[in-house]
Amino acid sequence: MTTLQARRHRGPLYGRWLAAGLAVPAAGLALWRLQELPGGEIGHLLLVYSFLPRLALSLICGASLALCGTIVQAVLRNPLAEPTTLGTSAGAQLALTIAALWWPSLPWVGREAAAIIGAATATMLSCVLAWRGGLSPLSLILGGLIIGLFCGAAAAILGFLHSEQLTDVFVWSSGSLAQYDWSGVAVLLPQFLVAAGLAALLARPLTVVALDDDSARSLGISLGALRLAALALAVALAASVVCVAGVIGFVGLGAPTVARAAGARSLRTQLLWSPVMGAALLCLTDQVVLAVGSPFAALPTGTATALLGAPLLLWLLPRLREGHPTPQQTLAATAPARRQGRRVAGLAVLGLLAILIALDIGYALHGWTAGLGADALSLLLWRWPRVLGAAGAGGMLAAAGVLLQRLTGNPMASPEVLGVSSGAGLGVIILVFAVGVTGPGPQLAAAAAGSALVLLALFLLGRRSGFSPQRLLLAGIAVTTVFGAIAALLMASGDPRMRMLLGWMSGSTYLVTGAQAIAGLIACGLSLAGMSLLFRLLAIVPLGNQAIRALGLSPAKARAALLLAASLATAAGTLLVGPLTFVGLMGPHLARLLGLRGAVPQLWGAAALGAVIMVLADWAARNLLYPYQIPAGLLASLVGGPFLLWSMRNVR
Amino acid sequence: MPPILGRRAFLTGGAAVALSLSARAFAASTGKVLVSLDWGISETLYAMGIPVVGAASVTGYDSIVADPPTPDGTRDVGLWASPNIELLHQLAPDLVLIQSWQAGLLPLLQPISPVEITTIYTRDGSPYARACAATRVLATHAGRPDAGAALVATGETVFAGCRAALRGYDGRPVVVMKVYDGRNFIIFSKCGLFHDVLEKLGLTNGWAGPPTLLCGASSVDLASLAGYGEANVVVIGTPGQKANQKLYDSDLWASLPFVKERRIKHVPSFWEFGALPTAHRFAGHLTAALAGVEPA
Repeated sequence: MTTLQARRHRGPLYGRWLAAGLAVPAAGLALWRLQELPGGEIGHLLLVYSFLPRLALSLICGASLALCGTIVQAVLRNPLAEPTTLGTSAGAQLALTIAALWWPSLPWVGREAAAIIGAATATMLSCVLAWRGGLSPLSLILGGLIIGLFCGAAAAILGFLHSEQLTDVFVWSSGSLAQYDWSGVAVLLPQFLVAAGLAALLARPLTVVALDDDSARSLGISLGALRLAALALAVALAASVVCVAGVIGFVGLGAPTVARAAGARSLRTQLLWSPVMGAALLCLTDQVVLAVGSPFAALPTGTATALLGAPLLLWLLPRLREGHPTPQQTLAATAPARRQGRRVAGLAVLGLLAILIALDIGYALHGWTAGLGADALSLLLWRWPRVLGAAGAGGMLAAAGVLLQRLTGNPMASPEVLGVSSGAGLGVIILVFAVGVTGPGPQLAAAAAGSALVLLALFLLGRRSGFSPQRLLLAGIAVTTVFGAIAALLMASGDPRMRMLLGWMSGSTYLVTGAQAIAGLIACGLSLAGMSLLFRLLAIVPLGNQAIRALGLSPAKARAALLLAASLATAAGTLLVGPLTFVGLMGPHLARLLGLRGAVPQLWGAAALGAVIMVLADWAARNLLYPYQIPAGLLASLVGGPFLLWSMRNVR
Repeated sequence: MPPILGRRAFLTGGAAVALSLSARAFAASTGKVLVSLDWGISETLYAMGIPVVGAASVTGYDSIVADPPTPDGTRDVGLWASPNIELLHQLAPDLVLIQSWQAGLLPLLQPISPVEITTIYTRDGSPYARACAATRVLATHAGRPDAGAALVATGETVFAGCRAALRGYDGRPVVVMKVYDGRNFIIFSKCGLFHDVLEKLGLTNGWAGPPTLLCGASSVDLASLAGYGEANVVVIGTPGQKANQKLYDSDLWASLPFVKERRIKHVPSFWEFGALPTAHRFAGHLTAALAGVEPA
């Protein structure tokens, strides 16, 4: 009891020190920049119309995003949730992209309206999807995930096809706090104040909701209505921030995490401290960016927040105690073992069929070709590496997804979230832009080195925390955020070298060679066989530490083994088709929804499904807009998302 | 305006055969069957009257570069960053033309045909000089070396006409910018094609900072423009012209000296990675905007 008391005292105190540690340098930098301003009329103009509004906006945006993050994390009972989990910013981005392409002469006010409509529509659709699931946290997360994936993939496909026309949208999505008048502050400040007031009113009922459904019901709280109200509040505020400042990542996820790590235990303290942390964090970042000056003065704040925030999150992770319980996956009907085996065999046959179709049938110079004609056979030479590469990569990524979802008990877990894929992407970006080398061979090596480094970091971090799933996921998200921010920045720069990488980064088989495809298939077979040997671990790890110990195993070692297997498969799959396929997310869910719930059937079923999805997506991607080719990963997300939606009718 | 879903995307076999015939007939008389995978190379070839059997991102080219237009019958071979390899294999060109940043495609292209790499933008030196050299090399590959020399000479005539039209210019430095939205814009500096055109016309680029972007431009804060009160500001158009209004409506913009004194000029949209034809067109429009007259 005394230790608990002591901890409680230490917590907020530590939080105060941390907040001061962020705020004092921010204020210092701001003062230093203030006296650097030129004198005279120009200096006055800059102070009133640029320096002050930007300072105010950074504080308001930081606090707003952090407040949204805290609310969303409490409602969804998921520490990985953030304001954009419900598809909000993906919806805004899609709407802006469409507006820029089809109505290029739309005035900027019209574009902001489009962004708000897009954000609202996406969020509403997520809630509609979750309606049948009684707006439970899991159904909301899945609904948001699906809508977010769909909108994100649609926006990315349009961006891939029309990148030259969309530089302004890319610039917007890298987030900027630059202000040349008070209009942004005038919009956001009242909204933040109203939202903060409402959040204070909601604090008590939300505390109960954040625990679990039964205790909330027993207190007579209408769960669905409360969740909708809280989410509407958070999302409306987040959408306004997105419209004024563009996409500023990390604050919504990071500030609540930092507040928790600094000792804010109850939701009430979190609702107070996390906006403070968010405001201090964003303000400090922005002042650092401005003070460092050229060439970083042009660095969008959204990018800088991710770059500075992610290491902070990593540093704080060991101090983070498991806060929210992760959502439980309710088990629906499990098919009997024999039928599960038959279904897996059926999926494997489906995979072979898909490969044959993708190899033989396709659009070409003079229209469709198929069969054994000379045309079709001569094209086979170019097609087979892509088709087999897609199959191998899809299989490995989906299998890795099964391991990670079982390991973490989190339905949002996927190889992409682990950070290993992002490490590969970062490796390639550094090679091309910092070292100045291009070419498939060096890029493959850089991707391998990048994923190996992230893997090593995950293990060093994991060993200290007993491979706690939540910390691993947060660390992975930190890496992914950095990668996403740098990629967005490079897209906004309009650099053709980035456009060259865009295909691979969006999950394309375009660059797969014959040797790589064969190596990929072998690696896929090996990893499936290796993972099957871990079937006992796979079956018991979701049941928790006690179950693992009951088998005489060490929980940390069991998790480390699964993590290693998942990471190796992820790295191999990423080398083939790039870091953004989302097959690793969809495969395991689809296998589970087909009734494949045993560890090994789910593994093989997900791998077969992953291969089918990737092969068919690649085939469609090559033929749909011939001669233009869409990255298969994007198409898989676009088509797989709604399919997942259809099949999650039963999720509660 | 969904460019890729447009008319051209649905050109089917028959039209493609007809068009490739014209490029092949040309090739039979002069040299090689060419494929261009870059807009800068495409515009240079079109300006010299050299047809290609296939070009990358034709719909995007026609909406962003636009002039000279893609000759009828040119086959669209897909995005310049990921051209359709199966289609290239079937078109069987004698030479594929790419920019240096497309070198990652070499392992895919080399089994199909020889590849010629052109370099115009490198973050140093003069893109204009390199574009002139590239024009001559491209013309030689197409078997028309005279056409290359002629295009470079035409440009010199255009610049001379512009210099004459600018004789009465007030001598203010010129800042060339492109606006993305209410808060973000880029300014063109050394190592960019537009800077080279300014020099060719005897004008001073008001922005002296080194470029941070490959096209020879920097993304800057409006605050750093506050010290450029003397300059004439030329805004290069973007497809969404009206998006600029948010910037023009802001208080800081409205209080800058060159705005108050109405020293802002507008020119149409130009692609920032263009080659010689882009330089020539930009010179004409810049002169018209600054001198208020059409160049000779």
